[in-house]
Amino acid sequence: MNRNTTKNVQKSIPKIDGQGLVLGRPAFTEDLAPQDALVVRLVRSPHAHARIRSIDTSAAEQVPGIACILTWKDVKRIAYTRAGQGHPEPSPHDKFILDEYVRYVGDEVAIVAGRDLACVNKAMGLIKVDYEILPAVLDFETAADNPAVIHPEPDIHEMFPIGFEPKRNIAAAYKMEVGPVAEVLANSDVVVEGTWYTQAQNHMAMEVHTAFTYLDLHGRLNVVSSTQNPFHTRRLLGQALALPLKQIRVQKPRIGGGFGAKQTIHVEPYAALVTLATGKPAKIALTRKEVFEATFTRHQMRIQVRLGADTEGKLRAIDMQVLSNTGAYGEHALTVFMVGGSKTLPLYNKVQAVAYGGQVVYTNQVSAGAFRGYGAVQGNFALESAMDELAHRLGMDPIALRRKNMIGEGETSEVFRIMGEGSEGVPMTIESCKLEYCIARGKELIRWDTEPLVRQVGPNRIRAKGMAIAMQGSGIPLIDMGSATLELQDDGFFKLHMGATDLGTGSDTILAQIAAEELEVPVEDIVVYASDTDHTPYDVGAYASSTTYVSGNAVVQAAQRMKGALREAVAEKYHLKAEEVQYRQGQFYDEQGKLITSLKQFSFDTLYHNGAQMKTITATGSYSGEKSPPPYMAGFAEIEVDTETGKIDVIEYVAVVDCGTPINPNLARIQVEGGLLQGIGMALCEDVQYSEGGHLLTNSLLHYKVPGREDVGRLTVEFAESFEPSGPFGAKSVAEIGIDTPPAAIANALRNATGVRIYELPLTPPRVLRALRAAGT
Amino acid sequence: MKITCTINKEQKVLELQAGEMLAEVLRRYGYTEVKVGCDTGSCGLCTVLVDGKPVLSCSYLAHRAEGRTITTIKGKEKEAAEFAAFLTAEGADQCGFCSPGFALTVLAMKEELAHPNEADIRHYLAGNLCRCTGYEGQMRAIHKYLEARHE
Amino acid sequence: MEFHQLVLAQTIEEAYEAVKDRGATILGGATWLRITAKHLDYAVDISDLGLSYIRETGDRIEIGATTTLRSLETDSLLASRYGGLFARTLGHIVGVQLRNLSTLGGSLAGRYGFSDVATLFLALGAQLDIYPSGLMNLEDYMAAADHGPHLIRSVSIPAHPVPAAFQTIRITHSDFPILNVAAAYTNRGWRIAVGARPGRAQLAKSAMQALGTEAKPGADLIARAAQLSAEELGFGKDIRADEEYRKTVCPVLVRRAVEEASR
Repeated sequence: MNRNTTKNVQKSIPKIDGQGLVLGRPAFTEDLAPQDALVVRLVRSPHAHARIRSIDTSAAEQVPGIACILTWKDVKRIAYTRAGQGHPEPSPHDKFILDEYVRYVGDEVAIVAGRDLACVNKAMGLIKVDYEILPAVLDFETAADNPAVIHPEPDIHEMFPIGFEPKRNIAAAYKMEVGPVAEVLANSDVVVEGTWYTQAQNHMAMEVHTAFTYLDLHGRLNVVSSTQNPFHTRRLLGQALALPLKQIRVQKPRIGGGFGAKQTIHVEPYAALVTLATGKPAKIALTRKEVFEATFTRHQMRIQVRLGADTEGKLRAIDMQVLSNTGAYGEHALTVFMVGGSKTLPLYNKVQAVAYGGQVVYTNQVSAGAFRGYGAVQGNFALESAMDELAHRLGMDPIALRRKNMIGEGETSEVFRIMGEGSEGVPMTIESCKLEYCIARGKELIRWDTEPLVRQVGPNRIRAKGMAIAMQGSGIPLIDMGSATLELQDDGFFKLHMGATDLGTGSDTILAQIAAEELEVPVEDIVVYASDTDHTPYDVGAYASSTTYVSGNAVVQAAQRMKGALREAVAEKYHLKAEEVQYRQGQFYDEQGKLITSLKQFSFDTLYHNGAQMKTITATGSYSGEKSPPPYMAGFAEIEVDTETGKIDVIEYVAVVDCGTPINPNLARIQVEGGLLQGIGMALCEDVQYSEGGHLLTNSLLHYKVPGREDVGRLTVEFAESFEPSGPFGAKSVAEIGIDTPPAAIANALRNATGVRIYELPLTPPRVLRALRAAGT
Repeated sequence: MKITCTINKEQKVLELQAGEMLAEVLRRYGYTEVKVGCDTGSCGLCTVLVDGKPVLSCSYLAHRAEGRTITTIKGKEKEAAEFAAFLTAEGADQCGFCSPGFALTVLAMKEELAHPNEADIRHYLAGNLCRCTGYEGQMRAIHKYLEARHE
Repeated sequence: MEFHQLVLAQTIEEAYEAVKDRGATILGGATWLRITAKHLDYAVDISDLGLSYIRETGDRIEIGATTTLRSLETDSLLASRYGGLFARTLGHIVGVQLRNLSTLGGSLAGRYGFSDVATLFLALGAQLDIYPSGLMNLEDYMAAADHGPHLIRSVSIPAHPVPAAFQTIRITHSDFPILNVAAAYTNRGWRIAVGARPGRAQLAKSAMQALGTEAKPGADLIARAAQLSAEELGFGKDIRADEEYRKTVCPVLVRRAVEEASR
């Protein structure tokens, strides 16, 4: 591909759905729900751990307008996982739609459906539940082997060995070691050790979790949901409801943000059960409080890092041991834990020894699940903080330390081979890595060398810079698969049907750009339809940064096959051999270069004029990567610290990203900017907090603080010139990388500013001031 | 109870219960461009104009709309489309869930503030949360939009 | 919310009667009420009582109880006497769309711990005109446990320019305060109010006494007053910060507020 002559790729075209969305056209799940749909809500547990002795719904059932009330006795008992992952799921099947036991405050107790919210709320208030309160496990550091067992039930299971020991409150466990880590550490000139803690974080997608269900003309269950993974949702629903998959259709309309919050089944089973029980359409929308209390969070982690190096700054060994809190259920337990190492350790591939291991434990808290970064941001905070500590110990510039040890193009890491998501990984040679450029350019942009790294800017204000590097992935190799189907329409345009899931990110748009580029037609000639299990081919869905790379490669393949099919069909009509027909930019030529026909003309011919040869010209591409080429970035924070209050302000954040070819530079940039702010939120202000009894204190936006418009200074994002040969037009993915560096970069900047390192997030003013005072600064 | 008000230049009679908030009532009457993003008046998605002033419709008692003029983004379609062009040109429309309330607040800001600088703009729009964009792309769009309008 | 009964009061007597005889809840902006109350037996709307105004009356500026916070920020009379003080103080409260609804009366009547409004008005020496009992200092209003049925009709502050400053520490810009401080040099000397302790705003009287009527106190005097404020007031713990943090930061904010106000 000549990168200077692409017509559709590398173009910042507006999203195809943009205008409509800004102007408020009805496009989201709640906008589309049938007017007469039953309203569904859930009675939830007020206790962190309890057994339901009895539920009395008799008074509730009498409320006029109530259509049905379901409790655990009304639902077939089938263990499943809500985790939106491929089959076999690496998450334990430890959830029942409704159960006799409740395992966190907010856990579902009863499904109530009625003609409107008023009667449903009234009925909910009349349901009497008698609970036997059980001891709760509320501290993940004392969860393993705690006498209170959260999942004693015998009918749960893992799909393959993941270290599942529920009787010990362990959802998953793993360890690996390459080289004798203990020995290498013992022989290292310098060893840096530390224990870092990252908090649970909420996605705060602006649209709450919603779904509606109905039975269509054929009696099939139709589900319209704010979901990131329609195909997984169909499969998991089928399992949980004991319905054949052919009886279920799942569609994703426009959704208001995901970030991993909706990489699961969430509210669909409850609406589905109501529709199946009553035959009527049903809709469910969580309140924001319920989204906080009863969906998913990021996994809280404790990460112990030991680094061994020589006096020249050459890293010899890395040891990372992790304890992860998966909450009441084990969705994404093993895989997030794995990514904590698999998407951090390969950054420093030249070590002699590396070890990663630990456990994922259950607690009676909100279930943890997928959240952008998916373990990498937690691991990055610990590893990149430890690297800066090492630099301080060695008296070495932290950037020089990175440069000496970081991975480069043409290299590999044992970690790729060993650590997959749930099982072994896939060996990979890095064909594109511009970390060196990212660091050099980032340094320039943040004025790393031209300004003092630390300076006093007021009587009690210090300004300082800090940095971190990061990597992520582009889909899960040999596990993620995406498909796309192209169909030529009369008038020479194409239908592009894909399973790929646009969360608002603009994937519909960039995949159309990729199709248009390969087909050599204007992007307006690609009409996109996506994310409908009845009408679009399979795709895993939007997660693991898979859409650009995996779904994009599927689109390229479909387009290449389409061109082949077109040439064959044209050859057939004009009595030529397919090899004799050339296609260029919507026209067909013979070997002499003479024009045979146009795409537009042929599109009419093949549907109306070609007699017995009339046919629909269609082509499908599927792709599952043999590798997951990492996007890379260097992140630089400039902060100001008020040493009397502990308040940190981010003056500027610079991110230089290598995502291969940005298919749509604007959309790629916004992915990074959005990720940066979520990372800054994790670094400074977002904190999931519980009461002593396990009630979520941060269950509203009053108390769970996401960064607002005035909470950040300038974000500067640039891209490296990079080309990933295995990616569509050289692209890698870009969805998650942005979130990975801010916690470490900001903690490193604070350390530079004050000499004080803080090992816990978030760096709120009270935490910072306490640390400063303890250090006597 | 019944109230009479003007919504997007149309006179409307709304039936509502005492204590209901304007957001619920508007959505019930099909104004789905008014989004609800939280329960605590914290996110700004539900912003509408009441007599030209931006307010949180989730926190506005519906009965108080009696005799008032209410404007949603649909009541400013032409101006909104103008601004939307700048927003989409940056790719800052993203999931679009915050966009109608946000765009309406930008239009209100344009009326209220003469020559807002970066800090003024961020401050006026502080009540409009966005989780997708990091705000930066939205700010680029606003600066370009205001510049274009001043030419 | 659900109101069993709603009255749109046309006179203040009508509103008062509803409160006194029916235990009616007064609807100001109702923005906080809407979050905390699901069901009210009796609600009385006071929007029609003509209490949205800001005017100079003698040596006071009188502000009607249903005046919105946004009006306070943007009013030219207030700006001419107090500069950007109201804009800077109130600008932390959520956003413009909320401040176009929340009212001065509602903010003060709630006597909320988190209120920036209360801290500022306490420092300015605000006086309330309460129906039916008459004038009361905001300080006394805040201190009393229960006032029985009443309505705040208006709030008055000095009409002459008062050097004043507001300081706060918050986790994010528009979050609830961890602590807030307002310092004002009135014609009776310094007034220093500390709020969000997390308890409601109180005057730091020893600190005020230490500063006395010194218009431009020196650094040592300010430091001593700041220290006194931390010693005399009570602090506590909430989800945002513990007692120690508030106690540590209180003198910092007091010092900064007095420095700023005396510049």
